[in-house]
Amino acid sequence: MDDINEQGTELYSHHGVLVKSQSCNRDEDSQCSGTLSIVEYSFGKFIEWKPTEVSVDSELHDQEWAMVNAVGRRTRTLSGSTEGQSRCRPVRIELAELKSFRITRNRQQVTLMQRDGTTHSAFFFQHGNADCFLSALRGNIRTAMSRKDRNLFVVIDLPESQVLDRSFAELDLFRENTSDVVWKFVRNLHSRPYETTLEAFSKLTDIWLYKPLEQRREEEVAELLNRSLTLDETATNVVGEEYAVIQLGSGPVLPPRPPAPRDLPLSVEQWAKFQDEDGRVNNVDRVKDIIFRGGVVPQLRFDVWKYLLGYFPWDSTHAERQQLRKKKVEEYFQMKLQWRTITPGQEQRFSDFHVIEKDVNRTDRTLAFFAGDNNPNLQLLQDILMTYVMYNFDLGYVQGMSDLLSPILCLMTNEVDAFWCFVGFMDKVHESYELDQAGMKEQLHQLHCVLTVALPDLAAYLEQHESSNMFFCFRWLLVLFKREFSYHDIMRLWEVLWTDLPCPNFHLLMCVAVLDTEQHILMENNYGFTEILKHINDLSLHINLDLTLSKAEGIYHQLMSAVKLPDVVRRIIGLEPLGEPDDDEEQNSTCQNDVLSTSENGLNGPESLETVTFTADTGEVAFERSLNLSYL
Amino acid sequence: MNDTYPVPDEKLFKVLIVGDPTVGKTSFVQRYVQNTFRKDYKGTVGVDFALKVVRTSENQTVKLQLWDIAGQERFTWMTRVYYKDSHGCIIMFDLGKDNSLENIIKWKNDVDSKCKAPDGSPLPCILLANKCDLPDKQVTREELESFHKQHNFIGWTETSAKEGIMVNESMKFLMEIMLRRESNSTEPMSDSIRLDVPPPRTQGTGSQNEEN
Repeated sequence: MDDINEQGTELYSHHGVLVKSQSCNRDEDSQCSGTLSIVEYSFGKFIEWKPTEVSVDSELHDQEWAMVNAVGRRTRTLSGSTEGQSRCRPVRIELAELKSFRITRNRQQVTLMQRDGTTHSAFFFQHGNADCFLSALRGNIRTAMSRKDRNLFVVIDLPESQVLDRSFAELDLFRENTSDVVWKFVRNLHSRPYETTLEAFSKLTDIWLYKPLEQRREEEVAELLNRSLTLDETATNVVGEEYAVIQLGSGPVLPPRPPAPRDLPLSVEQWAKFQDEDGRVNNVDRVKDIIFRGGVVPQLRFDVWKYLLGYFPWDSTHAERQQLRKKKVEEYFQMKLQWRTITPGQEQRFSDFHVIEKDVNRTDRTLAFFAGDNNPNLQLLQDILMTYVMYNFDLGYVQGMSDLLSPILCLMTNEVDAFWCFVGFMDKVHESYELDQAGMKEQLHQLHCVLTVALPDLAAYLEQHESSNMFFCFRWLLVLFKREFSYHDIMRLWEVLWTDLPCPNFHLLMCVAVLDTEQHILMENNYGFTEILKHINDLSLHINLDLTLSKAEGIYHQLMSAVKLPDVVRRIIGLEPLGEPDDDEEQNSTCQNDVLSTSENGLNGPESLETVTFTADTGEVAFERSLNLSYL
Repeated sequence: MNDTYPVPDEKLFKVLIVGDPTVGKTSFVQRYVQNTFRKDYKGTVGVDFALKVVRTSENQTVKLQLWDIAGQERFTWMTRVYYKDSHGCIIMFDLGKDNSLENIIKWKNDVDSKCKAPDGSPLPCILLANKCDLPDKQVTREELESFHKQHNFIGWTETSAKEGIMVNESMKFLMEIMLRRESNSTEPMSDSIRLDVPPPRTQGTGSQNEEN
């Protein structure tokens, strides 16, 4: 019912445009070639991409469009389950839905982003560059280059409420008295944000796309909208004055970010040299350092991970490890026997067991190792998780654990070794999984604290857009980026994180590094809570690991050499707090929002009014502000 | 030239999908939005989004933004934020499980206590009894018929995301309720609050006739 039956008019088309087809966890990215066009229908204009060499009958055709119309995530999620070959589905984006686009790779690659936060897979122009497409696009929409990111172009549309009054008057959108309408809009925006914005959007886009204005008039409108876009910054500063005071007044200024190049992975020869004749690993610090800078070559992972995950002590000999392993095998099967002998009634009432069974059947099934019906490796996965419940009764099974186990089992293939490595991994991350969720809340809070210092503009933006709770990073933290990277990359990332170098909580700096890459897109698209969440979700399998790792290390060096780094942040990265009273106060003000939101288990007030006093460089400033904590 | 495009009437509704883990929320969304059923999907961590655009008439489009929320109880501390500004809700359970009714009440209370519809009334909620294609059923239709009324659901039906049974129909029902509420809310004086208009097509007994 939501399909397009009519034949549109093609306004522009470009052949040989590649789209990366993302098949989860498959390392090789395959690309599909197709035609990118701009098509006009009676109800609006659309950007469309259709793969070449795909013949579809009309029934299927409708269905496929329906899927794409309903793009929830990137097109990758829409790719069929057909094994081996990757099918590319057509893409259709309504022009009125386009929010911004980013041009990269020597102007050959364009990434389109929608108003609702959807980010599409990049289009790659293999013949020539994207200029033709972009100029065709600009014939239909107005764009402005971002001042912060030269590759980012934002579609000019909705003006800030401050200038709405005038803009709307000039646009002549409403028949009623403009001023009343605008204030109704502002009022409604609070009570019914979705409908209200949409109403305004649709009216504006009507004018924009559907009503050809006289040339002179059009320029006026463009100018006006341009102006309102420029006013944007000052306008939000007025609204969020109190935040501006905090951010600009008291935050430490970080030195420039030093480069932190990645290095080669730990090689077989290096690893051999680090071991003495009895099999002890010498110079563990150096080994870890190499792993932090470049990971481990794949063929060594089977050995090295056992040390990184605390299953084998670094200083153990061959003989000792043999002994240890024998003991661990016994211990494992003893625990396994415990759940193997429970009665059917017990099993029936034990909900963890049911969830494990279900989760096992939906963990990385696209990986060859777990693919297909009745795959024996699924049984291994299930047995290990069941046994872990016996090992750690209090924690039990929590969703997400199967994600953490999967790469380990793939690598170890042996049930016992995989189990004990998994135990080591869980020891590192169990806090995220605990019933009270205090560990997860704490991490989200710490992440925001670091962000306040490392990316103050973004931190302030998030506060103004109901997102300082950092919920959009929840998935990253719970399964340590498992869903965000390919199978190959996640192994690399995890071994790097397991070194615990260069500081505690380096994974939080990873988060900050990804956000550093995305911050201009989030802010200049003026994304709110929903769109931010969606955009971050859509980053899955589109994050460059090496780039992000070196960025994260660069941020670490910045924090380390920052003058007056707040104690809160010092503690997070493992530095001694300075404990000076002034600093303490400052630090409190820096992270006040989060301290309030996570402390004393007091997550139950949906809103609280707090008076905050803090010392800034300029002297003492006291102010009141109301916080909408967005927490429970 | 000015009349080339009809003024499109576009509405956006945010719809929550909640329920215990593995009852079939993600599969339901995939069936509805993509008309597919996959065995190799992944369990949801946090929340996933899907958008379904429905052209209800020549010049009306409804966009349904579906929030597919992870169901494990220990993560419900985040739901208040996810529920914000919703227009409608689906609470789903697995017909083959026996503790379902208690947990439905938990979810209903969670939604009602944390979220109201834009007009201030409780969020319109439908109850979906999923996996009706499987033979093992722990809850009877009679139970559900009285249960859904007692707990203020606007309707209930059996569904099968796997077989595509009553998926579109239940969503259409919810969408019509949301549209009706929407039009009422702009006219505050109208004779609103006729919440228990019988939803004939989605009542449990009706679903059989529909499908067979």
